[in-house]
Amino acid sequence: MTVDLSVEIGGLKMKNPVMTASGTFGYGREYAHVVDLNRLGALVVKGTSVHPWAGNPPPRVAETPAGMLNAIGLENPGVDRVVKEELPALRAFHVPVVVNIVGHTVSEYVEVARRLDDSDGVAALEVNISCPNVAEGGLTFGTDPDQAFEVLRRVREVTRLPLIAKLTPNVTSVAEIARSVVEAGADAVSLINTLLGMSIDIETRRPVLGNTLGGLSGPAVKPVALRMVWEVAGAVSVPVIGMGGICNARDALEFLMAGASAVAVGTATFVDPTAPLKIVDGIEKYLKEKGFRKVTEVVGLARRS
Amino acid sequence: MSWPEPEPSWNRFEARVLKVDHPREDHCLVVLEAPLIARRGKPGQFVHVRVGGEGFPVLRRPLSVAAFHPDRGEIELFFRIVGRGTKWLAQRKANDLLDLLGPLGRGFPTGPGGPWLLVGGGIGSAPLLSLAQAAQRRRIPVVVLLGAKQQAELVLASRFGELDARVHVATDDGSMGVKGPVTSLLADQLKQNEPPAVVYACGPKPMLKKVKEMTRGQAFPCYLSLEERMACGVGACLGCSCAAETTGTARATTCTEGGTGCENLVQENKVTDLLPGPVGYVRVCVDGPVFEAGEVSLD
Repeated sequence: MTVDLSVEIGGLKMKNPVMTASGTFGYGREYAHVVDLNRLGALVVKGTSVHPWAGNPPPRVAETPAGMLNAIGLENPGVDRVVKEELPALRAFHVPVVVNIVGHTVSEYVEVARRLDDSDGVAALEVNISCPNVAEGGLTFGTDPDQAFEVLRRVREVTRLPLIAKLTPNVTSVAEIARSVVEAGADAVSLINTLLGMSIDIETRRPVLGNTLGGLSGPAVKPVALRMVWEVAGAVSVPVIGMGGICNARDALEFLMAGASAVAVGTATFVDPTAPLKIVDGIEKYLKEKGFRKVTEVVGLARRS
Repeated sequence: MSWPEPEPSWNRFEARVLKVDHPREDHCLVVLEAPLIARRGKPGQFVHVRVGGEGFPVLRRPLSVAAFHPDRGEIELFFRIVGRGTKWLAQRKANDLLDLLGPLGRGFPTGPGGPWLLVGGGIGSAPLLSLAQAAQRRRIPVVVLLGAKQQAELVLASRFGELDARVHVATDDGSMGVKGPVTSLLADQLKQNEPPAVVYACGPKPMLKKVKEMTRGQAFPCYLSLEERMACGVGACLGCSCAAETTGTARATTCTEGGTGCENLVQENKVTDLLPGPVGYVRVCVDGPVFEAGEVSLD
């Protein structure tokens, strides 16, 4: 008996519910010779802005208990080069490509979305209103329901591509932000982006990261991420993409049962580049063993009263 | 002088531990059976080693390869025990399996001319050993300058001594060789009549900065091997960045794959005032870890 792993996220059709998390898988080519990209549910590429962004001064990463901090600062070559140099190569694969978009201003988000809407090979946009590592834009849009609404509303006007709003955990009520972006036209939400954190070197007596603050990811954040996915899945009717510390199929199934329709794998890929594919296999195995016919049958299963 | 041909790809390997040796308490030498890396790896390249079991430590540890033995299918890793990851690694036993990605990064560029002048500070002497072995195979004369805090830390000195290389040593406390920094040995060497064909250096950042200053404007090139905290190790996460020089031959991250994006980047940064200093970053994992000294800013 075969199991149907396919899911649909606000118009984005995927052969299975496992995606890469933005910023952790480059543009796919870095891993293409060791990971069969065609087996991914979707490939989410690095945050892309109108102009090239240089990113933050090093050090940009630091390991923490069961996790890591990063403060990359959305370094990217800008949308023109992404369209010209990265997307064409990805069209050779049979995997939906989701581009994560960032901006300092609402009009920058709109401009990137417009450019990508015109480009071939983009299956959906993930609107990043949640990066903790840039001074302006990013997180500021994601922590205020009105600003979050405004970004999504304006981006919605210029594209018919499925829009996924990527939410930050660094708020009092993530459900409130989620309701706001859905009202503005988001087809789905993804969460969590990283949790704001820091680390200090007691020898140099200085913050470890060049940017002082960074975003925490990895197994350490999973319970927090799962709780937030649970809250958001209960607050909005659009599909939820769950992420935050997912390392194996067991973790992924927890997110699905909390109400996520799909999951993204990030930090785990640094440890094992094939982690996303192992998670696909593990989900399939679980579903077969337990007698499910479709992965959608387990979505929100833990919510039943 | 030409950069080593980029390997088509790194891969993931299970490598058997053959030997774990502790030449002193906080230093460790691990010999691994890794035939493909031993054959394909180039001096200056590194492996990204998974440490710990499930969970913690989370990230792999990038370690330069101290010696390649293509004939025996073995590689040697030599490192200082500084944290949980390296401690875990140092506790491995013969026949344990290690999960490696490699060979990774851009190694040392080499040419036919000699002599090569190698400058190693502390544990930074590790990748230079493989370079000295390559020189020996190619019958190129090598001069090795090694520096450390004290004699006990000069654990690789004897390995260099086994090769047909002239080895000079400096220690901070004078317990072996000349008392002072290894860069004082470099100053002496640069006063000699016969200039080196090339200088290769690896060590702490202040040492590399000094080497860069001392070799600036010289007729011979100088290559530095850098160390940085890494997550992916393969160019995807942009976590191991080092500031590129604003002038000269800097290849900002966004400029590595051809094109003339550097100019655009400079302009964009001026317009948006994104970054007060350097115009861009290079990735130590794939653009390096070896850089021409003029490519990177060590401030």
